[in-house]
Amino acid sequence: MTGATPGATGSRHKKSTSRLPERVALHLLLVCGAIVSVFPFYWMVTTSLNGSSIFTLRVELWPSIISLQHYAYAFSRIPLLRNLANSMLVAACFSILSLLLTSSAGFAFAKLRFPGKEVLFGCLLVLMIVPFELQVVPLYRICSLFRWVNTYFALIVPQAASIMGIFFMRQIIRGVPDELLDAAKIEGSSYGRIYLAIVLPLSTAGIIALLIINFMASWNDFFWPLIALRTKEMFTIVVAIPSLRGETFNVPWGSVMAASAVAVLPLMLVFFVLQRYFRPEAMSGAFR
Amino acid sequence: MFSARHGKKTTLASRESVVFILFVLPAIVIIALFTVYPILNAFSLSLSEFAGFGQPRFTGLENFRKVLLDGTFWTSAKNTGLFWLGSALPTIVIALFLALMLNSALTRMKGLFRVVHYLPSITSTVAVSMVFQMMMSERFGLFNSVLGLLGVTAIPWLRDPAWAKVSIVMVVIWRSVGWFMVFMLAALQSVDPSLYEAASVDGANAWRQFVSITIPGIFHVLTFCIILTLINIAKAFTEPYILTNGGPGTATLSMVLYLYKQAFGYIDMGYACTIGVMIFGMTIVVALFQLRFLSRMYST
Repeated sequence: MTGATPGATGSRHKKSTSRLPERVALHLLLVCGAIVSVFPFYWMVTTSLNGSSIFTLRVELWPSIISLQHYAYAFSRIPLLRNLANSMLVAACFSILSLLLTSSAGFAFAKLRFPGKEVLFGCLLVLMIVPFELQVVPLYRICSLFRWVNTYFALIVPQAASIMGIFFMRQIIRGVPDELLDAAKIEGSSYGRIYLAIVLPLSTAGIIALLIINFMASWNDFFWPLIALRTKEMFTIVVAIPSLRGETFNVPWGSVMAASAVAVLPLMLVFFVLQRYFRPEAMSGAFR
Repeated sequence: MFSARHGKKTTLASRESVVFILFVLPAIVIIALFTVYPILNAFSLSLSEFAGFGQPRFTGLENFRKVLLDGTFWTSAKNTGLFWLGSALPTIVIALFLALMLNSALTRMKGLFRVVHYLPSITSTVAVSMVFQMMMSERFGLFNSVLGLLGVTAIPWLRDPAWAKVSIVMVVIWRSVGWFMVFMLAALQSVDPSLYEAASVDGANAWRQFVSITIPGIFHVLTFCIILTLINIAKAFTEPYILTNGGPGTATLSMVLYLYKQAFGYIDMGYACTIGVMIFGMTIVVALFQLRFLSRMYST
């Protein structure tokens, strides 16, 4: 595995042209890794398109008969379109509400003066240590008290003021130069105007990153929606997929894969289009 | 105040405080209601008997006595620990290996490789677990078909207690490698390149440079990643829930899956909170222990 020589190689640009065997080995290994990463998705899509009968699972690298029957079956068994709409609505509302809450709090923590501000911020950071799993039973109690069980509210509101998001927006807004804000203030702009007209437009890259990561986290979330949702019509798509398996030993794998593809592919498309904004290392922990 | 050079300081400052409160208030209210209160309530429920309706009945430390004697809980703790032991090291090693390759000057199409390796981490764990469950199904699954072609007898991936653990660990590794790779890549890029140049001039070979420059340079990130694998595994729920539902028996029951079953299967919500407190406490203790161990390793 000569190609795996550490970051050290970065310093030897001059010699790199002559190290062909190393290059080939390096790329071969990366291609192997890429195949391992992508193959399950390939397998998911080809199984969902495989035209053999509903219940038997035929192992074919490329399906001999292609059909959409598994998709038809999946859409007829569960309200998949509704589930898809639920996921979109919840993820969109969640990421927008979260952006409003975390960016305004982030602005305050980054740029406004307040006695005890650092202490308050420290308290928030301490809260991050507590796992969501500990809070889940009381949260369920509160949601039933509010009559929020089996509603969109239960999925949108409770996690929207994410502390990680506040932390991230504070870092981003700190990068907005004070001189701009001072100048706007001297011209008589209110704080609300400064926030809307200067701070937000100058933080676009951070805002897009936060929107993507929140949208994905909400779309993929399983633990809480599984608890908070009751009826098939209210299920998000991720919660709906397992319900396709049914109770019998004969799992309709083709349609389970069809539903999975419907759940996974739109998000992948969004990711490919917007991936240059995507910097997970800048907001570790934003995924639940 | 953006920078402190205003005349009427007190009034401006107090006005700014009001503005601060207005900007922070919506987030704080939601955090207080849906995070702070649930945490406090979880601790109080952990000392009560509560069946999901009516008023919780205070029972003191009864739940904790019960959990300490609960064999199933300790099985779930052991399983979670085994998941961590099985997945942490391979995840970190593979992620580091991939990051080193992506960081090499010899590599082309870095962006593409980065995205492709990252795909498993951004997709729904449910969908991914479903695909693996299908590939691992015993008679018609892809894994056993391929093994059959090689003349290996079929493996009961999800039906045998030991193999079921292995299967879960495999999915966890597959799913998290790309995520850690991104962290390591950022860390590698932050190592000062002049160190490598100096080392090359001194005639240090690649391995030597890796051991004495790269590893110390990214040690803090490695530590962070090891702690993160622990925190992620302590939350393990979806993979066992989908792949095996904790089975066969309790062979792949994770702590959070046990909490879920107590709370929403047996509707023993007080006890579920006790399990939650145990998970929280155990995670913190193990994380602090690791942190101490790793920082000592670094200093020697």
